[in-house]
Amino acid sequence: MALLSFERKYRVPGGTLIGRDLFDFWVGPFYVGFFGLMTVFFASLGTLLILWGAAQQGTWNPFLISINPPAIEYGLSFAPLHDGGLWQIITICAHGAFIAWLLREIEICRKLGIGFHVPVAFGVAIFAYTSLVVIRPILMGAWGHAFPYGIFSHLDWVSYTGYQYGNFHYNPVHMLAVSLFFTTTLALSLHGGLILSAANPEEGEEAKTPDHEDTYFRDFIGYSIGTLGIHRLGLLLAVNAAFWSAICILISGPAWIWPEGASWIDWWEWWPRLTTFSAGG
Amino acid sequence: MELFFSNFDLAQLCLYLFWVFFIGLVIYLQKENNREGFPLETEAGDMAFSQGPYPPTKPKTFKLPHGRGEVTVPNGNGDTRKLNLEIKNVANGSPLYPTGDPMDDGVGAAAWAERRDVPELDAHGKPKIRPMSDLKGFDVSAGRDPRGMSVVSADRLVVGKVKDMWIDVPEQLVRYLEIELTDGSNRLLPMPLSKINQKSVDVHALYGKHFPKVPKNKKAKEVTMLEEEKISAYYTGGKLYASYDRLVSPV
Amino acid sequence: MAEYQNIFTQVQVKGPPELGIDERGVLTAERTDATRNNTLVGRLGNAQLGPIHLGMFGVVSIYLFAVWFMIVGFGMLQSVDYNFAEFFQRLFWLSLDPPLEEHGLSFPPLNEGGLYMIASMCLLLSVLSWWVRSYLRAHELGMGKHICWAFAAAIWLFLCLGLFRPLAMGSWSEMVPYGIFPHLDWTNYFSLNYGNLFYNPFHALCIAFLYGSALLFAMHGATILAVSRLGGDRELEQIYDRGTASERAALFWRWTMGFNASMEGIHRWAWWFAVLVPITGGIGIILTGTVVDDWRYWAIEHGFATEVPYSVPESSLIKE
Repeated sequence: MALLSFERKYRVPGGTLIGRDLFDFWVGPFYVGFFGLMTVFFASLGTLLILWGAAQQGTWNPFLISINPPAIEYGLSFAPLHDGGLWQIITICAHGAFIAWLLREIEICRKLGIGFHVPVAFGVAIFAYTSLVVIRPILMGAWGHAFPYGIFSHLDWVSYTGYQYGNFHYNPVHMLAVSLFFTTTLALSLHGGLILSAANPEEGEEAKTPDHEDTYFRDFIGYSIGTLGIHRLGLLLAVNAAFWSAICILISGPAWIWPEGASWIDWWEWWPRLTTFSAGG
Repeated sequence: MELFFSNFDLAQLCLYLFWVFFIGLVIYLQKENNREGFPLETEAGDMAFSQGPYPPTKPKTFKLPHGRGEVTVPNGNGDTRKLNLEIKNVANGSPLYPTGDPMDDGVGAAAWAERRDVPELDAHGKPKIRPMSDLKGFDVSAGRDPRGMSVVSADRLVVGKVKDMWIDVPEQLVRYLEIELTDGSNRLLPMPLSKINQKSVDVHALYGKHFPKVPKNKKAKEVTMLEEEKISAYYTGGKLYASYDRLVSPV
Repeated sequence: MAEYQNIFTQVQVKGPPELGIDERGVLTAERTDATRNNTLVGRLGNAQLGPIHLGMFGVVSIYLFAVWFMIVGFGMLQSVDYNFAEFFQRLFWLSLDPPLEEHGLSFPPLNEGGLYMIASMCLLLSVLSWWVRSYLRAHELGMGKHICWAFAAAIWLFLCLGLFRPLAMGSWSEMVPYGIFPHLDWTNYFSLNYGNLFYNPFHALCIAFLYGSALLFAMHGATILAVSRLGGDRELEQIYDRGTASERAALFWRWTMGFNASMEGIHRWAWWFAVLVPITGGIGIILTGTVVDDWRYWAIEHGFATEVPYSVPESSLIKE
């Protein structure tokens, strides 16, 4: 099958975690490996189950399909298939597929001899998913607290869950996470823009150098983080955005932290309480 | 009116226009990304029948500074050197097997690209990466100074000492450590592959026996981009090839 | 043996300060000459702070921003009757508010939104002045204008919220208050008032690009760090002369997900994803209250929402 013009020299055996050379091959551009098979298995199974659930629901509109978690009353037990059990099996398949994907990325890194930063970053994303569908439900005592698998239904869950705490914007960790997301987007536009502006200069100009990149940002805001630094910053901002998003929802719900019904607006009262004397009441 | 337009409104029109724009954008973006790696090849090295779903991208040209000419992409330049790999299994998608030592041959994880054999230049036309001992006004400002420390390989052998640091001058960043091996010759070691401890520098990438085989730069105080390729690729190759257990899984 | 992951710099070096390219010899005069070295910052990126270019547009922008800042502060102080202790205590809850609805698009009395309008004009001119700066700094170095166009996309959202939509709605009262908690309350109220903004398709697209930007920067940052051992962070030269770093970066993704970018192309993906966040966001804002009054109703009408929204389920077996 078609390889990129520079690809041939990298297409060697080796680096697998399991299976030695049994699954050490490519299908088209995709590397397979043992975990490639595992990921295809779980993804296919999960998808088929979603389609079956959609058939049960009676709709094929992709915006309306929704596989719902069990009712709260079932607690942390295995629910009947038609009453949330399907959601549970799909969640297991999702974990299988995501973890297999991560391990496959590790095999690819080993074969290429490169660092493992990508699978580690992906691990943080998986943590964010797991925290919402496993960790927080366990901490709150029922699978029903997890989000449904449906395009608009999962947004209803977000809205509904947010309002359980008054105004979720007031969750201080949510504020941190949102700020990190916006900063990541800002930094991405600046980094993309800087590289492109140096490699695609004004009409007739010569292609520019990293010296020009540094000069632009020093002129503009008095500081340039540098070619290596921006990639460290971008990775750290993005991964922290995902991580603190997971934390902000993990702390909302468990009875011993900030239970449902407690408004995040009230959390901020610690400050006026602390400064009451100076304000005279 | 109601029957004709039904519930079609401005918001829906905006959404449909956006989708049209976005699909066009994705096609444009992927075509821009196809400036490298085309035309596609087969495992045997001939041009592939299928060149992917996108039409060929119109070439663009970079005018390089300091008299280095122009570069046009896409340019169809594949690898011209002979690769010591053989096809053992004709089924498409099978890996190619190194016929010799992949680290010496520069294939697999030790592969290097045929870059220009000239040093990378800064904006003033001077070589960007230079030995610290050759520069005036540069000092260590923070962290552990590795100069003088022993260099330890993955199999815990002391292979030499850090003699110097090679700096990226305009960015003021250490790019390489220069090691003096036990046999007296010098090699460059990429900074990302060295771990500076209290009293030694660890290099996980290679075993002791590999260090004498690390490619050398021709000039004592300069390194070209092609030499950098070969040097860093050799160390990186060790991540997969330095020992059997790195290459083959236990199960 | 532990391996180094290249997240923090192990040993920092300092040389003579880099004072910036000045090919035509005109820029040095407009730059400050002091630079500082901060080794804490140097653990992550460059340690050098400064020099900065002080031009007309930069100075004007900073001045107008300071005026905006002071006016907002005074507005907040006025709302607590100039009691500094209470100002300090209730700072996050205070705001300078937009005009009341009854004033429409006319200039209101100073203490019923007039001060807010003056502050907003200062902020607008400050932002536009900074934008001109972003253009000129690139032009004087002969570089492309990609950063300035990205900034323009952000200004589009800013203008949608503060100018275009209020004009379309016929009232300055639609503008966003200047205050920490109040601007969050405004956001919450906006969604509640227009039938749940999650159902606004441009809001959904905006979020998709926001999360997508985080995804892309995590991917790109991690990929470059993974190939930094091969000099991958020296992206420009890799664009002009493809090295094994770019080749492995591309192949990692080709083998993982079936397609890949190039060293230049990934920055185009990045730029567009980031820029589409404020662009789609602005469109979503402009359509709200003008074209569409209730987004949930709109979604039901257009077939992608159910009559009854999802809420935490009750068992089908456990019935009264």
